[in-house]
Amino acid sequence: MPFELELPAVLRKAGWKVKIRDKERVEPPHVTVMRGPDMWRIGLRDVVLLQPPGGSWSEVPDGIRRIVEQALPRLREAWDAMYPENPVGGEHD
Amino acid sequence: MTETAYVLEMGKVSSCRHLGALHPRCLRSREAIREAVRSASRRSLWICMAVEPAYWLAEVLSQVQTARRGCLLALADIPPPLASVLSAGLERFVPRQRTMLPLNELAAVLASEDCGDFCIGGSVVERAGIVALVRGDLSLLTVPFSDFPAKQSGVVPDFGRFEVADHGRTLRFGSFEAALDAVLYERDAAYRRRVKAGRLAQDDSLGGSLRRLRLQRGPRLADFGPMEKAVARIERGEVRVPRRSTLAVIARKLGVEPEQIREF
Repeated sequence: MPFELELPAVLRKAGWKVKIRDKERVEPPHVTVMRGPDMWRIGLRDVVLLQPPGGSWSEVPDGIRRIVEQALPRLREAWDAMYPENPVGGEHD
Repeated sequence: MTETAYVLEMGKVSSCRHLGALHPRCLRSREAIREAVRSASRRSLWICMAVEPAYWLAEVLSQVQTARRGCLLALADIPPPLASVLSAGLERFVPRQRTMLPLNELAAVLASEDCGDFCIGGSVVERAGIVALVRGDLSLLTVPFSDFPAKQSGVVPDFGRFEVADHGRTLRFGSFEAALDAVLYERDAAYRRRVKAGRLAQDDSLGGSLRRLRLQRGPRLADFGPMEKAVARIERGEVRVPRRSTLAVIARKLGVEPEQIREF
């Protein structure tokens, strides 16, 4: 079962989703932010934008960024539970 | 990316408004299809909403002796003999799948430049243990069930409940969700190369800089002689703070000062 962050109604209605799915790419632990066909991947170790390459936080509403930052402990915990072989605290991917 | 989209349909209700992102031309007669075939190109996309116009298209294609005229995505059940005729007259024919994206999401994906990075639909072939995916560029990808292992938490994919979700970014098997890019990364070498190239270009680490510099200057790892393994380990990020003497030798070989390596 994926871990999906609960978003305020206004963001949810606008189509925003923040989730960690059961099968993700093997790479730094991350959370995926989606809206329609657009997608951003945010690293859970250092909260940097992993994808798209060269992408900018400015493409994502401040509200989403704040929510992701505030929920970091929960997101990290969820990732570690789903991917114990590649934990957020681990040194290698 | 699609050049022109044609929607073949019948009846009073038009689907074209749901496919607005493609700016499609809706064709409802044999004559309209004939005219469209004349101006179609290899990059045209035909979306067939009903069976009858598919017969009209097959008829017109058989009369026009030119190069293949684009790809067809069937959203209606096309009988096998008709499907064969359409396959012969078009670049590609994709039959209706068991699960497809909703029309508005389908249009958004088909209209995007990187449409091949999305899944628009697919089917599960239970007896073969395979999930057949249709990508936004209408290419097909088959993925074995074994690519979706059960989680340690006990979440198991239910292949009988396959859906494509999140505008084609997620494959859903009951309560199990898989990121499509994870599947593409494992199964599509071209996709993997593209992602890796982007990642390396973005990599701000010493290893990433050293690799870009080395590739730019030309030496292969083997050209570093006894330092080969050290260079490889730095590039892979296994050694994050190399000895100053090691960096000096590598820098000399690459024709830069040690402190300049990070600038690349």
